[in-house]
Amino acid sequence: MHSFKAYFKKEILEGMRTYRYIIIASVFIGFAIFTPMMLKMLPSILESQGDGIDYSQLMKVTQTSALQNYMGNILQLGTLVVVLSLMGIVAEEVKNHLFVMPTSKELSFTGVILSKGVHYSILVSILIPIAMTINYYYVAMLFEDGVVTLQQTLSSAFHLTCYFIFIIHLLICIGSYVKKSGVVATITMLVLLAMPLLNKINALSKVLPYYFIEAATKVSNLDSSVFMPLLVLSGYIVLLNGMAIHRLKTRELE
Amino acid sequence: MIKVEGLVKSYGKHEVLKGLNFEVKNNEIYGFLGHNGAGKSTTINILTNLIKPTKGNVSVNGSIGYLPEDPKFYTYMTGAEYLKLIGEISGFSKSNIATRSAELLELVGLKKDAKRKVGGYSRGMRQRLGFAVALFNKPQILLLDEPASALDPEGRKEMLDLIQQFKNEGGTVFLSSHILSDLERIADRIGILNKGSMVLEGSLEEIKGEYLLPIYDIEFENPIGALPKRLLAEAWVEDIQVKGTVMSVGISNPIVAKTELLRILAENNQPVTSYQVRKSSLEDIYMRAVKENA
Ligand SMILES: Nc1ncnc2c1ncn2[C@@H]1O[C@H](COP(=O)(O)OP(=O)(O)OP(=O)(O)O)[C@@H](O)[C@H]1O
Ligand SMILES: [Mg+2]
Repeated sequence: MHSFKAYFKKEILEGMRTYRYIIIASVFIGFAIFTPMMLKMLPSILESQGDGIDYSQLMKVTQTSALQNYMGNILQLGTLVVVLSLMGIVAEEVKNHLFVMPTSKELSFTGVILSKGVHYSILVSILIPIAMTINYYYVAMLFEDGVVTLQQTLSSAFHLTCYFIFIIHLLICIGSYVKKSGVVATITMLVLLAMPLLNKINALSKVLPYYFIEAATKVSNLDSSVFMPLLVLSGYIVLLNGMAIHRLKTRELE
Repeated sequence: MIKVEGLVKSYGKHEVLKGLNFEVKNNEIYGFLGHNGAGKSTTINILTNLIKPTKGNVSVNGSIGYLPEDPKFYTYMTGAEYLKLIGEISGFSKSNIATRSAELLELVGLKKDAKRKVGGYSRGMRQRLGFAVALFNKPQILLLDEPASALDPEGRKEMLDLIQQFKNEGGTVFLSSHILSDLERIADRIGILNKGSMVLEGSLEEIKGEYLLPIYDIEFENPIGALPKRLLAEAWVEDIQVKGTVMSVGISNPIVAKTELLRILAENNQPVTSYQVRKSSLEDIYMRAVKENA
């Protein structure tokens, strides 16, 4: 518990001092504002080319499609930014011998791993709903058709958050096994890219966190179908954390 | 306090430690001496449990404070913040952390740099901070891997004084170095490690009594010529070093040497400008022990 608290505070300090918070937040929030504006302006930009076509009729943007557009960006660029800025959270610490001295002070690796998972899960749980709400505000202001409610937006935010919590734990686990952060990022991206493919196999679709992407992009209210996937996600978190803790406890840290 | 029996560590086919045995007693400073790559850090890392022995028994009885050879910190933290992290891991209360940190920063001479980022510290400053970390929870045993390697002469002396002080307050110290004079000043016992084996071990007095043999420094007016070769044939000559017109003759049998050396010099018929006897230093013993076991 001492280690958990100590490392939780350390993660906060690290997030601020290495500008990780600012980088991640500015991507999520930046796109929340930028995407709907871009969608709104695109037809008039195209029209200014003067070929007489009414692009605003051709590209009918609804509130739903604008929100989906933003989520698409987040799933690509947001994922990339999260993976790239968190790829070193355990790997670099092992590689740079940063656990050596704390270990001689009875550091608990259970505390270390849990603090990282909890810390970054809290970060996305705050950031994603805020970013989605900001996006909702701009979408509602700029587009009229296909009305989306705030409740639906927050339901999508919840699903996205769950998906990112999975990514975070995946990064922590792989980082405990591999020292090179570039390799950690590559493996994580490969796993994430493989998911939509694996999801096509019916038997697997029930046990993959890909559910959360599908549910988020559907834009609808939260319903009870989320319970099973949440249970599966919890299972993944326990498994990934357990593997990470076991690895750090047994590997040579020098 | 520390007991090591038949310690072997291999990396693949490379046997780094080849069956080490030694003991460090309570309230003793044990100096662990060896060249680069001899296996000092490997031994200490096994004592701290960071790496696992391939074979052998290791027991360390008591709480430890560890200073690695090249201590690493979160570079975005200040020195004081890092000590706070260490205090929190150890379960100290907020006020205890504050007092202990202030005390230690003062002790290791980092008080005015406490609020600077560790990323901007020099290697010597990092070593000082590492020493503060090692001392933080008042351990019974200190394991120090070349604690003075990055320090300037003044810092070296301060570090040795701090280690001596730790011992005076009842602590036990296991200390590695490749600089013998540092160990000579504070170590109660010394072990010399060469290529993973202990080649010499004993208290300073034992080693000196047994191995300290005289060396004759003889200076000639002219280039020395074939004399060293002639002397090396004698059984009482251990080794010879020539620097310019000065010849240093290491002696294995002082009693014979006293008379024989002068006789041979007289026969040699070359003008001698100075003739001096000195006791060999620990440095010489160290070089000899390592050479004999090469
Ligand atoms: N992880 C490792 N893998 C392979 N060989 C290693 C490893 N760690 C150490 N060695 C080898 O073990 C030997 C002893 O290394 P060690 O670091 O213990 O020496 P040392 O006495 O501390 O040297 P120095 O004075 O340079 O610090 C060296 O030959 C080194 O190459
Ligand atoms: Mg070393």
